[in-house]
Amino acid sequence: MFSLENFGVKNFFVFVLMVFSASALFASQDVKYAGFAFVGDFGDIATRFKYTNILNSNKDEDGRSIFDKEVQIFFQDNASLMQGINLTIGEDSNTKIAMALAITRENISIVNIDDFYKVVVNLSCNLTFLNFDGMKVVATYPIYLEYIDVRKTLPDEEYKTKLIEQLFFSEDFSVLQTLKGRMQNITLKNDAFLNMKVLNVIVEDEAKLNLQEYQDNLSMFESIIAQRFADTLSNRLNISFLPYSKDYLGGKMSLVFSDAKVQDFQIPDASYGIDLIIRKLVKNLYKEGIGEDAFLYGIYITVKVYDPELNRIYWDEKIKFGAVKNIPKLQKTFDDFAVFDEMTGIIMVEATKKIKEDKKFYTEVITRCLNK
Amino acid sequence: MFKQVTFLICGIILATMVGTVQAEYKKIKVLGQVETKITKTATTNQKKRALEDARTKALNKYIAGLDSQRVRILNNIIDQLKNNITVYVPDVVALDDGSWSNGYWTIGVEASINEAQIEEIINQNIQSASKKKGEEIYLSFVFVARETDSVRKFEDKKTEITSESEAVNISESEDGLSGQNERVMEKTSGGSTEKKADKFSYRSYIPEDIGSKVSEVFNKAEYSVVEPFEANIDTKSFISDFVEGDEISDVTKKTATSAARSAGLNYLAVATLDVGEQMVDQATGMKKVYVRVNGYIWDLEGKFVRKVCSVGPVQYSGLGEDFKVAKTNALINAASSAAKDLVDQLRLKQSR
Repeated sequence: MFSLENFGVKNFFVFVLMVFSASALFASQDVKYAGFAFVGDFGDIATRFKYTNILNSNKDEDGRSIFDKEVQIFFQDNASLMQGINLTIGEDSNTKIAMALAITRENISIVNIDDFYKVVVNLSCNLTFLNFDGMKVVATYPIYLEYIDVRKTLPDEEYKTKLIEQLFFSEDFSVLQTLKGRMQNITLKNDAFLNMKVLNVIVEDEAKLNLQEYQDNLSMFESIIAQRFADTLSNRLNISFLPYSKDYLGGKMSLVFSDAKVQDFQIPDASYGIDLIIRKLVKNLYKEGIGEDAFLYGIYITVKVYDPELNRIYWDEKIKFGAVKNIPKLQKTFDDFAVFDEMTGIIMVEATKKIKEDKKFYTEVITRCLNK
Repeated sequence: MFKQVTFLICGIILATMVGTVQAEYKKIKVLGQVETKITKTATTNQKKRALEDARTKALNKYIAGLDSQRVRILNNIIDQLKNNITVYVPDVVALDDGSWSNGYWTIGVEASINEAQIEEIINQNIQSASKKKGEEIYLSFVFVARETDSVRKFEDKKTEITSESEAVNISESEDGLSGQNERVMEKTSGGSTEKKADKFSYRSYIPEDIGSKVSEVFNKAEYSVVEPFEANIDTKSFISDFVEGDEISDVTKKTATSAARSAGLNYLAVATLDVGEQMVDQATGMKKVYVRVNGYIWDLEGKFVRKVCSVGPVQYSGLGEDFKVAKTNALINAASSAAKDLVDQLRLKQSR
């Protein structure tokens, strides 16, 4: 007959302690590995992700692409670094939660400057957690990669395909290496925690003038900036993010998996919305010299964290950043956009610093979204 | 030592049982408010009251977003919901630290709505209202589908009329008539086009795939579903009627309701599902099929059979890897959605 007296008070406490220790040990979320996926309409994959799609279309004798193999190997080797996530790969599992590495943007732009060709590659990916019970996006971890190269010859298709492959899988600078560096911050929080989403990227007229090749494709620029800002905030502040809304019509994100299966997932409303307004991109002559001139480049942005539903503004700050660049008088053309692009990355880091410095806002809002 | 190992094993089993299961709640954002006349901050008790206020507001906001049938049902049991608000709105997570303005302390809150519990109380309430006499409510349904078997296309009949005329323009100068003539040819064409509608022939059937889904909807709402054959309802006459026209004939209706009444059924639900054209979904590349549904429920109790609720015409789509799967999905979507709508309307009638 069981009684507390027989059991012993000491043993009872040992039991309770062990239950809690075991809880801590085993309180992990089962997550199924869903593979590599493209975000967007099935019909647009070959045009939107031209080179990634070329790589993914090359299958081995088992019908597997480099993404099927390498991404799976990466997670097999590194999944244990994630916090409280028990990732099952290629096994049967009853969990409704799945994880996929999804590419959201692939962009290669080539600009001819004097005798050179400047190659700029933007790759945006999300490590996305999905709930198949309700077909919802649970959380995303944005990854943004920018690569700039200068070449003497016009890059051909083979070069571009090889470059994309390297930017995904190389050992030094790649999507997988960036992801590896963030694995220990990746966790799945329960519903009681809050999240953020970039709602709008607004480029004002004074900034539009300096966008070069993006002037005619503003929505692409806005989308790249949204991903880049989400990546910076998520990484530097370690906060939970949902995908940029405007990329997905009706709040639905279509994922096209490697086996051509398409699934639609609902992106829930975020707890807090972020607007990033690029107000001005300016270049002014700062100092005229004999052999070279000094130019002052400036970027002016506004970051607003708010709740459009409750009509509450939590943070609304104007931030500016300037840098001086010396340009030789003999140089025929100068790539101003490269400078603005570099400064955009810096001002995003500046924004995160300001957020951290604002103790009230950090405690009131950011701590509520932390990945803990 | 053996004891400790046993405890550890028990502990592990218990811990695994209480694992991290993520509940699926609907999220609603609201402002919770409390009056604070004396100070510009809120006491712990006042903060608690503001969160309670947020719970109530979240429930109201959730109900306001539902369709009118559901709003009426929930309005009837609103006191029950509010008395156990923590069951139906289990979590309120503060979005900020709160702020004071004009004598009120306000806090932004993200509240979770437990929709499963709300569905449960609706069922309990309807069950208690309808089972006052201690009787089961028997319901049978006939959901009949049709799709195009063949199409006979008619070309447009065209009639053309052409008339030609010749005009002569003579210009006049100061010297009198000049010798330069100008000829203008005018051609007039006209006529008519007679259009004749394409003739469709249909194939009608009772889709087996949707039977269990529709039964599930009625069963969950605490209706005892009776198979049509048990009540001697001739489903074949529904099928043949739907092949020939868009409506079920009065003779079939009369025969079916009489059989259902004789068998002691309380309700008979009927729905017609029209399978539309097959197409490829541009967004997903998958096959897509639309189904248009019309449905109604007859109340068989009383002197006359009455149509107590109806739904449609409403269109639903289904996606699939091939057209067969897409059609099945569209039929399931259409049938189960129509059944849910009919159930909500019926619940409302019964709760009055």
